[in-house]
Amino acid sequence: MSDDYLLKVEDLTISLDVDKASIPIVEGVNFAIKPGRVFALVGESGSGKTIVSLSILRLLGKGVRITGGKILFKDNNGKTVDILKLNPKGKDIQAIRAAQIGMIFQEPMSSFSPVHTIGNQIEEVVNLHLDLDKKQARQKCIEMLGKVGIVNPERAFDQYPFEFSGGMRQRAMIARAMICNPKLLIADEPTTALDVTIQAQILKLMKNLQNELNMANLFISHNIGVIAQIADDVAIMYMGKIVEQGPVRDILRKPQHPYTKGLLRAIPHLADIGRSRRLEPIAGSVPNLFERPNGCPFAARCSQFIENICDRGFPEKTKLSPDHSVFCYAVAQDVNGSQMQEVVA
Amino acid sequence: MPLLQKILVRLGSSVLMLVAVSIVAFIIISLPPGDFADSYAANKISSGETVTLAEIEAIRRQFGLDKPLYLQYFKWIGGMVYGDFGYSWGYSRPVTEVIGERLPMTILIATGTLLFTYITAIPLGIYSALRQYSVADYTFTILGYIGLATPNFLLALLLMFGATTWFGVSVGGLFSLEYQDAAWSMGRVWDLLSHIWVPIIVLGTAGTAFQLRIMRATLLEELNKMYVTAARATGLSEFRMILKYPVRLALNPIVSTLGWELTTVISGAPIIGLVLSLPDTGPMFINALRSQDMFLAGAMMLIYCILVMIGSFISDILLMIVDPRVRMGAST
Amino acid sequence: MSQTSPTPNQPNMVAANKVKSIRRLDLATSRQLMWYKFKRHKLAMIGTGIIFVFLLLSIFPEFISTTKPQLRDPAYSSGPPTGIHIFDEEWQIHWPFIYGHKMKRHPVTLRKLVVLDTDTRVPIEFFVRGEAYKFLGFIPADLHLFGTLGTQIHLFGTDKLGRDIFSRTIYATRVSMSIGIIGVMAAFFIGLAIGGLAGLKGGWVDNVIMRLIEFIRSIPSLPLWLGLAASLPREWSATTVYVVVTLILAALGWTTLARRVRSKLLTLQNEDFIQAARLAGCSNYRLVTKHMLPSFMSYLIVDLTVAFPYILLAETSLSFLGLGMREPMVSWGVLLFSAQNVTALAHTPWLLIPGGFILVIVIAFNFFGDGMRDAADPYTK
Repeated sequence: MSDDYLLKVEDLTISLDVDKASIPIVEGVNFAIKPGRVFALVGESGSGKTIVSLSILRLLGKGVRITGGKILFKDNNGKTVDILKLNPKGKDIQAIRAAQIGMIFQEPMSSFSPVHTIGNQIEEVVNLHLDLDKKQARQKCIEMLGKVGIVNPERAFDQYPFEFSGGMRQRAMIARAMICNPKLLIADEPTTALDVTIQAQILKLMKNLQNELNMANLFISHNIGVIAQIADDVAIMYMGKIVEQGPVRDILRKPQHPYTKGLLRAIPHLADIGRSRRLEPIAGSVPNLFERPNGCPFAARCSQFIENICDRGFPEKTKLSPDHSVFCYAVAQDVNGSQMQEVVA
Repeated sequence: MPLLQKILVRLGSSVLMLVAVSIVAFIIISLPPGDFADSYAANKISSGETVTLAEIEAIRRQFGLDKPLYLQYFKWIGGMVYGDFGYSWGYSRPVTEVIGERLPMTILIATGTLLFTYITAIPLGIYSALRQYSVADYTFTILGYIGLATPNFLLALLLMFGATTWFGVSVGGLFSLEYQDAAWSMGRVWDLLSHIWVPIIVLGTAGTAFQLRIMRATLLEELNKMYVTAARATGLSEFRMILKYPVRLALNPIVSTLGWELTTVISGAPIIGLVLSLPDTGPMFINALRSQDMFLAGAMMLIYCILVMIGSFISDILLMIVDPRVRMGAST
Repeated sequence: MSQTSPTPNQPNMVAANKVKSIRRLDLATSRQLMWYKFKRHKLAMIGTGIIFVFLLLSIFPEFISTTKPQLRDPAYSSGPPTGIHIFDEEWQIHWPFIYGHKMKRHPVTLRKLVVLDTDTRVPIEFFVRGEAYKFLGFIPADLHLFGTLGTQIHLFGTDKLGRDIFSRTIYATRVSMSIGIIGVMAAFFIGLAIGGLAGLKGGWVDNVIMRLIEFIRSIPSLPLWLGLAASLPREWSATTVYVVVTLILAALGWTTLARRVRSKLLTLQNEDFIQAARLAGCSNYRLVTKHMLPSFMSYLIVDLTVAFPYILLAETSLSFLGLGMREPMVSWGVLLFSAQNVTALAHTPWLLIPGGFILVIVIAFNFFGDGMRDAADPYTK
């Protein structure tokens, strides 16, 4: 992987403290986000993708501990910072939040304080990071509210969140996250709580803004359809591990990992209307956190399960192309058997 | 303007409530067998004077006691509109005077108690929530349990006992002897302050414990909400973020219990007044009840209710100011 | 889940135990779940133990106390708690004993004073025969848990009239606890009836009842109840006063319960399982008693446990003011009545001991209530 990244996550491991035990919920995650590109993390709920996104801004809650790895970020001064070395309550990370890395949350309903006006909550970000006077700050907020497609932004500025619809709140949230022009925007399932037509509008808005401001984007979703519309690169997560990653086209057209294949089969296609193709759900369900298997986490549900191999430790990385890699014994055997030995550690 | 309309509706319901309370109070004071004239006669006889039946009848007519109960009620309530609360034979003075000179102290103590309650409970509750499971948190929790479980009068007794045996001071009353009947001066105010903390602490302990628990629980709940993480993601410092968002929201239930808190204080005040022999309405009220000085007792019941209503009215208005959702009538 | 869940080949011990406990929770009935949760709440278990002890005290006060509450020991009036000794003056070890005592007058103030007589040692005996009583109200007996022969033992001292505070406190436990329990029960039935009426009838009935409840809750209750208690005729017997005061106190506690019953009934009416039962031809009575009540009984029990200390404290306050229970019936409040003035406190501080009982039982009930509240929602974490 080349050095032109904006944010690089290396061997990130995060554990959850339950009673006296410590259970890993994210293990050895590696990925890099390039400037101006959209990187998508895909997985079922509980796969650890939200935890990864929160760890980048050091927003993890009590009981969730980062136990290893690095998150390297090239800040506005061109310096590379390891975010994991910063104090989560310190000045350094606060200077990065919203100013350099913005974040949008899943629930637009609850991510604003209900007793402060929208304007107050957006203006606060401006006052924290930009050197503007009161009038300019208000003007900038109203401009931004207009830019994210809120009609009558002047009025919206003084309104309360409960006077907004879900879609409007998510637009306001985007305004709040982007108002300081961050280089990276983290969007954690930004459209999940919205209905489908609003979803499409919000996605379009995000894509336009991202192009306009030349911002990188870490997009978290469980919805492959949404990913296909917006992402450049994709990583598929299962039980806290990345099982396959690569450019979106490769992943969608030539999925290699049995889990990725399963996910793609489970999506309805427009082309299938009228044909008698049934959606194929992946057999079984995600094992309980406490029943984390030692081998490949997907082994129990996998159609290509190999006895005495797949249940013995997590598979090594198999490179299919410079950008496309997969973690699977079955794929590795195929590649090794038919082609030249190109297994890279 | 919807806000004004809401306040007016609220005011109207308070008045209705007051009418209902006055009826209840009147029924209670009419319950004991015998009436004012009988008590009057009994009082005279016990002091060695003779009373004729004709005299009793005269009094009965003079005070309208020969009329049906509902007419007596209208006379009672009608008099109140003009500030005439009836006559106290226990004090041999008009009720208005007897209450008038003691009520300010009751209001002072109640206000002081509420201030004490909130000024201690809110910061301690915030601290407990932010340092959950710390030594201080456990200490407050245990003290809270004890505070809630101690009857006010027992606390007063213990304080009195402790003060007299270990410090040799008497904690009763609101003034030292030399200021008892003196005119108001800086010295008297100072003397009052050096006494008033005792009833305030006694009356406020249970409320403080209760409000501390509410503050701690709601703040813990608020801290887990999404908007807190979202606010943190803006780069706001932890301290400012907590004060601006979750603490602000956790104050709402506290504000809404203000009226209720005042009710408890007012309910507990008479007993404490008696135990600590305060010159407020407490001992007067209980003595009136014991000696069945019913006009005085009835008027006082009504005044206690009015105080509580004013309190809950203020609390509702405050809640409208603090919470835009209540002000604008939003459902969420 | 069982057919698809993988067998962990090297299971982590802690995780395995966790799994086991999760499995156990999967199978548990809701009542078992409540019990598991309640047991985890240590303070609640302590509270339960204390409540149990107090119940024993109120069932067998005759056996546990050393004498009767109204019996006087004139030779020991206003006497301090009797010290229990193991060593005598010469540091000789003995079976626990008490010293005898004499009555003297203070040479200057002429106050009566109790002076220890270190020459007589009276051993404490268990299961002694003493004051005759009727066990459980009908079996004649004279056995007491402990006591002394000869000089009487006054574990908590005596009052001005020489009555034994320990025995009085134990008897008062019966009165105070029973007022709490009966009061809570009465509040329960009033709340159930009125709340049920509001929830089932709805419409204007509901409206009127809800306004009434709001009204009762927003007025300062104690002054009104004081007024009501004060208007009870003086010539009533102690028993009548007991009954009426209990009812007055019950009237304090029913509103919370009625509101809970009403709101639960209203939400339940739209639940699928209630609709199903109704369609199956279930009678209204059966619907409420078999289907609705059991589903929110646990909440009602929580409300009851919370109401108990309130009623107890209210009784204590009333009696403390001389407006509640009256002698010869003793409750904790009646006992504290004699500790009202500073001089009494300074000279006979042991009169405050019954206050400790109030404190302990109220704290115990608060612990118990907290545990119940956690357990009432067995499916939340």
